[in-house]
Amino acid sequence: MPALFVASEKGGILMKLTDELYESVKDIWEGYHSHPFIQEMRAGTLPIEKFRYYMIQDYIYLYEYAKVFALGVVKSKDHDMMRMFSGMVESTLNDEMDTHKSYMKRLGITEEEVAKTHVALSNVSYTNYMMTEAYQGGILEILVTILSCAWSYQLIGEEMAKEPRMTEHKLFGEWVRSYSSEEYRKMNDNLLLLVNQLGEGISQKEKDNLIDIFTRCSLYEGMFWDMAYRMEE
Amino acid sequence: MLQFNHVTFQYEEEDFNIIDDLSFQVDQGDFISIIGISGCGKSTIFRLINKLLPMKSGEILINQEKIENLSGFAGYMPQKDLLFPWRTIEKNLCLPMEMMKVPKKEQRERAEKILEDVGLLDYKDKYPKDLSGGMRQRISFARTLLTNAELMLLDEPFSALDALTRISMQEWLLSQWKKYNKTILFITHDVEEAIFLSNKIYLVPETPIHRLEVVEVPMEYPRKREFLKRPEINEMKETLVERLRKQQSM
Repeated sequence: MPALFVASEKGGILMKLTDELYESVKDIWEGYHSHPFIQEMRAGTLPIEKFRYYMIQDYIYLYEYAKVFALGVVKSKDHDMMRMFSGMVESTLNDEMDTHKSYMKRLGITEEEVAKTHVALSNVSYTNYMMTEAYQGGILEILVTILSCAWSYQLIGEEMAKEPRMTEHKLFGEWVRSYSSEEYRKMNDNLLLLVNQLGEGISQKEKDNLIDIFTRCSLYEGMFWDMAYRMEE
Repeated sequence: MLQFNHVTFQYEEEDFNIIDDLSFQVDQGDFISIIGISGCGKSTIFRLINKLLPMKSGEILINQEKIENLSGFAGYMPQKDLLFPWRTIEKNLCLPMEMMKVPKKEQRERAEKILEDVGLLDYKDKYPKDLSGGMRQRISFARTLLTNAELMLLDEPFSALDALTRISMQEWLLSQWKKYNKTILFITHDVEEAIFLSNKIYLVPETPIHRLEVVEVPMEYPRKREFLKRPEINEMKETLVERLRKQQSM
């Protein structure tokens, strides 16, 4: 039985690695909730063309995101871990994209249009950064690279789902249901668990590096919301 | 300028009206502090003005017009600065203008102008983490100013600052209020801060809020710190503190 909850000691309180990661980006993540894109989605006033733009960019993003998981397959040290990462590739390419595909249908976005879409600079910078860390690092770095997007989406989704009738909203409801769903939370719980398991006993230097990666990805997330709101060219 | 007429509001999870048949008004150019103990419903008043909560009954008017038909009439500045860490100071300032679809060139010009006004032009390309708490609140205030709203709602904006920074921010705020000729509603639970800043204090005497008790502050502007030592001001402070303490123990 691994000692999951004994990652490190800070101020006399035992903190899990994921708690430390969360602490380091708390302020950044708070910004997501007050971001105009999220707020207008919650208020139901977000213009449909901004949501449409976001859907396309996010769909493109997900393919790159799946590749980061795929590097996890390559770098896995055992078969179980390989299966887990390959499962994540699968769920990103199929389950999460189901939401996107459904929206694309509803919003009249074709694969052809996606193929022709110019990938926004904020988008391509983010995914290239993730790939670089994933190539250079090990399993733990790969997981942390992925975590910022996966985990913050869960928190945004859950926060939005608290809003009355938000999950039934005719346009945004499906998005909210997907990211506040039990399955999505479970997938993230597994990610968090694994990060804490692998993070046990790592050196301060390694930890600082993970915090840096996590912070940068979180900043990129913020820029991604900015990009969507501005419909960056 | 701002008028509450028989406003009633209830939170879904509560079984009473936290705001109950409340009427009050604020005049153009007023600096009014609302004081009351924690959880008394002060912030609810702000959220109603911001249309973040639906009234059960009554009406809120801005210059005789119902707020339902208006937008962008109030700028809100929260306790935490809410600046986006991934944006430079200038880009943070541009946010409200982006939302109002102001052309990019004009956004930049207005952001620079206001940065100069608040004395932080050198920090234009810096990120929020590079600024002190007081500087960040100045930026946050500047961002609220850029909404161009006549009415500013400031919700305990200085409560997280250290005592000295807080004092200089209070003086700074008064100078900005005069310069921009705004109407300010300021929430605080610090009685001295309320006295130093405002021309009138609205005390929340009880929860549910049926009325606000109006206390005129008998001090001239421009205000000086030493005014606070005047006997009548000292007495006023003691009385107000006593009132709040009694409520707290109830």
